[in-house]
Amino acid sequence: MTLLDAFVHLLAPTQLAIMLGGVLLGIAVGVMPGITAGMLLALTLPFTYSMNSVNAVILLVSMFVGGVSGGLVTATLMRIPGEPNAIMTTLDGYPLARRGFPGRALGLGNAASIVGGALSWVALVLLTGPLAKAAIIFGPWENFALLLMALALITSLSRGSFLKGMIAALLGVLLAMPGVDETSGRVRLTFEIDALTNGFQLLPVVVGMFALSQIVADTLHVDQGTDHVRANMRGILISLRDYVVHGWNMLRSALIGVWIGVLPGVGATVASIVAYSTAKSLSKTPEAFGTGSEEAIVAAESANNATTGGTLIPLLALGIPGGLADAILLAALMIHNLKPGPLLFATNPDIVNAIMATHLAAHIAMFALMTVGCVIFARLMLVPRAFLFPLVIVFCVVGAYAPDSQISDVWIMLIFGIVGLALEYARFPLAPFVVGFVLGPLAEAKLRTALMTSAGSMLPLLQRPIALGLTLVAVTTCLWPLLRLLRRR
Amino acid sequence: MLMRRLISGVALAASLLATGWANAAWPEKPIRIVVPFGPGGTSDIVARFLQKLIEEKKVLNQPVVIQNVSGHFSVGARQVMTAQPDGHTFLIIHLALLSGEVVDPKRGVSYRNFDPVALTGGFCFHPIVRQDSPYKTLKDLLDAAKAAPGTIVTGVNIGALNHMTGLFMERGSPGAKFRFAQIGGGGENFAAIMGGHTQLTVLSSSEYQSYKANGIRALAYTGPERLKLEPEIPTARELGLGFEYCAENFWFAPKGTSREAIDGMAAALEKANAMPEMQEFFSRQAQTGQFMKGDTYRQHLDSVFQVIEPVAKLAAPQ
Repeated sequence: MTLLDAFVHLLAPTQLAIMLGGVLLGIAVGVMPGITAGMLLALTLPFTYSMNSVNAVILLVSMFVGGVSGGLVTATLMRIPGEPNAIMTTLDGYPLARRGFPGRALGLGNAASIVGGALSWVALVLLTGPLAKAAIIFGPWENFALLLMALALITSLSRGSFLKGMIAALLGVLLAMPGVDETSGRVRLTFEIDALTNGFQLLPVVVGMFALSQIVADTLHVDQGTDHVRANMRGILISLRDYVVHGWNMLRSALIGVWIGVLPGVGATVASIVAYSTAKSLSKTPEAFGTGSEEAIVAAESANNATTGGTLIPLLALGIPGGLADAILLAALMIHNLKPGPLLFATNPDIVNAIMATHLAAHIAMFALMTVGCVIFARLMLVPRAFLFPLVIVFCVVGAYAPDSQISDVWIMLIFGIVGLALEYARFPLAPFVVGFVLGPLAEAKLRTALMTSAGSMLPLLQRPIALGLTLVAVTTCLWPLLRLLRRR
Repeated sequence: MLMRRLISGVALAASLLATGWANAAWPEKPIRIVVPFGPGGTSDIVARFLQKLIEEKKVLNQPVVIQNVSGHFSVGARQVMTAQPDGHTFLIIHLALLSGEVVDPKRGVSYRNFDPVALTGGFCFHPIVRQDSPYKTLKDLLDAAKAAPGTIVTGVNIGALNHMTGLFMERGSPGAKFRFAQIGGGGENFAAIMGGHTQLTVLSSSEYQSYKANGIRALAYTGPERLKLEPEIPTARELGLGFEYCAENFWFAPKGTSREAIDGMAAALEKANAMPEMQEFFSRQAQTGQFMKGDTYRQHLDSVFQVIEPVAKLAAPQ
């Protein structure tokens, strides 16, 4: 079965229904906070045992694509990231929707999603071999330097006071420390509190900081301003001109997304952070980021969808699962007596082609379904806040509780709601906090692995060319504001 | 079809909320199996294959639901340890539960805090180098590790099964020392060794079956006798290291679970484990297909603990 045959096969009624159903379910859980695409895939896995292997793959890949895309909706309309990878989208999608353009915000995100996804498909089909080889050369030092660079780009994320931005970022890193130390497997900084054994989880923290704090803040000012914004529904389908204007940004963010997707264990959230920060540092209007910038939405959504193609690459080329969705796909293949890895291309080309064909077709289906869905969802902005807020609070609680079924996560969410409110009142930016929270522990783990391979020497960071290059970018980024200040004097 | 299954999933969630004591005809509601690892790992695949057989061949008259809890294995294990002993909650885990309590006793998760149910099959390990490695045999490797102790970068998951295998090799060959680095599980270690970031790693026999075609070589096998799938690979004992090291798939229930539920689950697992499909799965995965329950299993757990305790102490971070 060639790739073309695989596409034709997808048009058969059964396969088409499986794909559309998968994408739709994926989008639905993407929209629902707390229920992540990973959970949907894990829940679906047992039902694929009795399917034939091609249908199983079609269903799982479709759900994966739908899930990555749906998070945008809740992020934009409620300031709740429906999926962790939509965190960066909340930063600008929500303000834009609040200003009265929910249609435009969703439309831009949706368009960027399909462009990012389609570009990553090209990489998946044409560059599987070389990209997988390149990813393997990227060792702990290179990974650490990449994360260091991303952390340094925080400086570009702070609006207003540079110092406050750094404090927020370091606070994020600090609060990510308690829980299981990934490197030694030991529990640390939990002060013997059972609820902290697994640390502060990402979703309770961001749901509290963004969504809950927003509701409290809005409720405090409910006497001021209008009850609800006059929402403009237009712009759900963006114009050809928009694609041209945002073309380079979409392409660049997609490339970042593909590459970060290829690296095992890094993931879509980091990809959208890096693409967002990069877009900001290259933007002509960086001051607009965080206030509803179109560029920001495009960067974040193009990058997180582009990881879908990237993350399938090590799975197909080497049999290494790059993320949770891959791990489930791998499990499904193994239950069907298939061995993922390079041999799959020779022994079961129908499976490889089905994965590739579904990846693109599911993106197209996702775009169509999301366009229709956004028309409906965007009307949420018309609902009076008195009715909307209780619903959002329910979503917040479910979003915090559902991932691990731990009631302590709900308390953590409430506490971080207060933390978020306090930070915003004191004019500390939230974006650097989240970035520090996500990247801090990853960078720590990579650095400690790297130091274990070198028996404690930091020298390889300067001896390995890629690591050195990335470190230099990081250092320059950090020193840039200082240099500018000196020149001005 | 999918919808109906989803609805049954929701029904299960509802029944989980309503805690109750098991009595009358076990099982009276869906059975929840906690896999304290992400999907796709060795334990997960074993649990899922048994789930598939139990459901397809109607071994039990209730559905079996698998719940993955990722993160450190102790998180999922603790969930079962502290769950209501309602007779419908079980844990599948391996040696990590036994070594983990030695590595980090503060965590308070011990195999003694569970009721043992059964043991279904197991797997052993291979020390792995790259195809182009200068270490052609295990002797080459150990000689090098003795000549320059602490220089061979060895990718493991600190405190976990692959790390323990490395420690067993050090102990079997006095003077040899590896430089252990935290890389992670099978996939990560395969990537790290292929990228030249590590020179040695340890893969489970199942993982080796997935990656062996890609330029890696196994120097030994830690099982009691050579694998039928890999008759060329000598055992560590043949090579004079004087140890065997294998992990088995352990099943546990929360302490206080009724006799009826434990015996019922053990019987269901025994039946599914003995099916030709399951045995074929085990041999394809380079796993062994043995079964244990009752007192035999209980005593086995204690004897395994005694063997690994001294080595697990070495795996604890200093």
